Amino acid sequence: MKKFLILGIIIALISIALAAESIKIFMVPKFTGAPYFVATEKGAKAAVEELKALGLPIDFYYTGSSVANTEEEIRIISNLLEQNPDALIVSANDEDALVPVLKKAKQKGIVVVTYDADVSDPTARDYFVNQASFDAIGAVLIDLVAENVGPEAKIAIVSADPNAANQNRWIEAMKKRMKEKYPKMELLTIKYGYDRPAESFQAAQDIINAYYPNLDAIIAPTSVAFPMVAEAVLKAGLKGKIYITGLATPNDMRKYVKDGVVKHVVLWNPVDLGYLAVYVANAAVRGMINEVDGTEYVCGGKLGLYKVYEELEGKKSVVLLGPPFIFDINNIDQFNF
Amino acid sequence: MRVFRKEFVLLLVLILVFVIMSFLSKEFLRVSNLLEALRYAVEMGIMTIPMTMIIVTGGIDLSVASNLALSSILMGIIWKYVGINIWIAGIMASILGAGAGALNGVLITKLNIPPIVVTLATMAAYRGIATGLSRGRGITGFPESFQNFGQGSLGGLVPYSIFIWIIIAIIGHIILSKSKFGRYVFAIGHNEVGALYSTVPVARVKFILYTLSGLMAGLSGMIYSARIGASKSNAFMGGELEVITAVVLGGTSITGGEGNILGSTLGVLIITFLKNGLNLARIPHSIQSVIVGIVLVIAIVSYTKLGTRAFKEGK
Amino acid sequence: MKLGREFTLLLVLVVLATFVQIVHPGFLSFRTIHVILENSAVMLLSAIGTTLVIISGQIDLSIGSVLAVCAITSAQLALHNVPLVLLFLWSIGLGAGLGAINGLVTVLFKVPAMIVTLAAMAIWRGFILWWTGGYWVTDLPDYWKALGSTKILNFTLPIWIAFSIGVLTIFLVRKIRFFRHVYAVGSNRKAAKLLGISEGKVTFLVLTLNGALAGFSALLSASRFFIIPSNIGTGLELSAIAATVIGGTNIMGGKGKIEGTILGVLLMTTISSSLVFLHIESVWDNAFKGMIILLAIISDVLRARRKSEARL
Repeated sequence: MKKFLILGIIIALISIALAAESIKIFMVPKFTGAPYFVATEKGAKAAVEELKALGLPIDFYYTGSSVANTEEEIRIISNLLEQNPDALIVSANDEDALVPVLKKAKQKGIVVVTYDADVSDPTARDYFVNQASFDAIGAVLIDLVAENVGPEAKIAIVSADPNAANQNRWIEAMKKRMKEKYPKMELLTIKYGYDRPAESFQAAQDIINAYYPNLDAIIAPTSVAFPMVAEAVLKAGLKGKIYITGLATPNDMRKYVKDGVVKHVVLWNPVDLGYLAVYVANAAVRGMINEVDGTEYVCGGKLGLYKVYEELEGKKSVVLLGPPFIFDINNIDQFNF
Repeated sequence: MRVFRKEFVLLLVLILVFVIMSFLSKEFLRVSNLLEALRYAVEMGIMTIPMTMIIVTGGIDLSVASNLALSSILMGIIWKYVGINIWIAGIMASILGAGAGALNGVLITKLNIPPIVVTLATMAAYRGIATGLSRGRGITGFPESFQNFGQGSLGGLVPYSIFIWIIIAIIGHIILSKSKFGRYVFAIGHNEVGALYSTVPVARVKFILYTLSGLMAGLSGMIYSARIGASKSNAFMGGELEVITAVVLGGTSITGGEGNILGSTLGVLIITFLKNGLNLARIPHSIQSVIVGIVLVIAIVSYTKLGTRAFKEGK
Repeated sequence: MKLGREFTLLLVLVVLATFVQIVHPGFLSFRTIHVILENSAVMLLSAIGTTLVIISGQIDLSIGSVLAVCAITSAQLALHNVPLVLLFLWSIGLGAGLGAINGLVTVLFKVPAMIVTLAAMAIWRGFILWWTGGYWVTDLPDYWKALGSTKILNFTLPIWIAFSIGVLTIFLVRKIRFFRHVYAVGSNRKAAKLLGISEGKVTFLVLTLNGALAGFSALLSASRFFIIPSNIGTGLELSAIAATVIGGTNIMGGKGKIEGTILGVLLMTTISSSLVFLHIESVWDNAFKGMIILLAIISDVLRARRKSEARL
């Protein structure tokens, strides 16, 4: 079955390449002022180059608000709709607020692909390129705590904004994992650092002061809070006494991993994420997503063939990049993002 | 003797923006683009109207965006958990917003606490309460008709919400420039003590202004929720500074005594179309902030050069 | 009863701390107190600068963005192993320069500083976001944190530096003529002019000083971390104004004490840290902070009223 599928895609590719005209794709991250999204841009641009070489040219433009601001993101996307792109790739600052403007895009016949952060209404977009399933991320984080501090650990979480949809879902997944596998693990508190360094740092310090020594681990599922929690633990002189893990890029965490205050960093490859998103958008526009036995498949370039989940964790039409990846002292130098 | 009025300068700037932006991108001058860009300026536009009057009296209201967020959440809660019709819930929430504004007003007039201090505190408090009540989740699922009001357009072209803005702007303009209330506002701005002794009901005027500001913030909250299809506590973050920027850009003097609705509205239009054109011209957002800042400084400086006002007492 | 306002603040601070300690014994541990002192220290100098600007009758909204520019550029220099002393000179100098620009525009064009700095806030933040291209400064060298690692009597250097400067400022404000001019200009511009005080010079200098203090704060704050995200300093100006106002400074100008601001900063940091100990659900954190600021402001006015009524 798979052989026919791959053959089909290759034929489609060749025939389209022979007659391919340039398509316009806009990519809008949550905001541009973070290395994580810079990495997604890098991957996206690499995909654009590859596709160009394959005879599938793309007029590609990456832009977004420089700071995380839902209103700005909506305005920018709305403005860009006037330029009639063929596809929009969006990481949504707010899962609800972005719905109407993306629906407008779809009404104009634009292919809408969300990546990194989805919107709550699946009819507002065609595909969601998810970095890793929410359950998988929650499970990996909690499992790491259990493996390193024991299944009865007392943990705290430092999150971003209380409105942050991804973080909230990951926290739900963590709670689920705890209930299912480690019922004796206890979540002491969740504090919100609003992705600001000073606030996240103080949140971590306050947690440590309030709970230690009845605190075994802190999880920070956001790239500003994670290093700040590490800083707080370092400052309190509790390296090795409190286990820290969370989501952030290896570049941001390298110093802390090398130091030893952080042993494991969980993430995925944002370069690949941006890369895959472009391939999915390109395929959707050019009709290169093939259906076999009721399931859609899309070619993810160098990354291989991807199945499109009709439904995954309550979300429709999901392309899953892969499982979460754990960075540690042994492999962290291999990555540059 | 020709008197250069600020509004002429603003109009020229707006025209200049249009000219430059139309060169930078071919989509800018499309009617669909211009009208759609205005949709996203409605809430800001509505809130500049009471803000203009407040700044004319020498005051300020930093709590407008937070009030908008709180009203949005309250509307959502009233609709979803009390089961009241969304339109009525919106009106109720707007009235609650007016109440929040009235609280500002009471603290300012009865306790004589400076407006910037009161509204700085309520700015934090109101949004904080909105976050607590909503627990960081949005309330969604509003009826089609309500969402259509915020997202749809008349004849597929003119966003419905723009009409509300226009009506409020006209009413605001009439109040400020043609009514006795408006004269009171200016009197307070020129010389509050003098106004007090000339039987201007200073406290009552101010109280009304801050209540109105709250009402408009509540109304904007309703429009905002209709536009994005959700009630959220993070609505319009940083919006208060955007509103103030537009009002000041529009020629209203921060020290009081001078300003008008037309100017503020032009201020909103300039910022909106400037950003809109720069987006289409693919200028990065960070540079856009720099440009808006520079435009603001140039405008402010030119106002003082043009100004016919004598040297005023500072704040 | 010359100490009225500051005494009340101190009282509130003590009562709050005691209350939290009762609810959650362990609040008043050395570690917590140190955290509160250090987090206050990094904000303190900016708050003092803000106080002086407000006393002079102006408002500076740009210090958050100035801090970001100073912190990030200093950190970038640190990646090239520029010595810490030079980094301080750079940060303070750059801050002073940006403050001076605010001052120049304000004075030369006779426009209110609030608007100039409103624009500056957008300009400098936009600039630094463009300058960094989205990247954060990471992998800072170990010497970058030297300040925070050095302790005197178990308190880290930033605490000593900031509070010493704070205390010094309290005395300087009473002794140095410049500061008397700041008060004069803020309380009665015309009278000050008649006395031969150049309002322009005072305004320019106080805005420059505020920038320099922001630059100083930038390093005190940023040198705690090996990583500097580009949104550092966001919201600083409003926190500084809140601390100033809670500390008793009159927003209209002409009146205010550095002592009050120091206590205001301490109170705000203490409130912030105490929320975890009080087991308040974090979604309500900001609501609490806002309502407490509101209460502080209201009670201050009521207290002043009662005092003036008592005098009658």
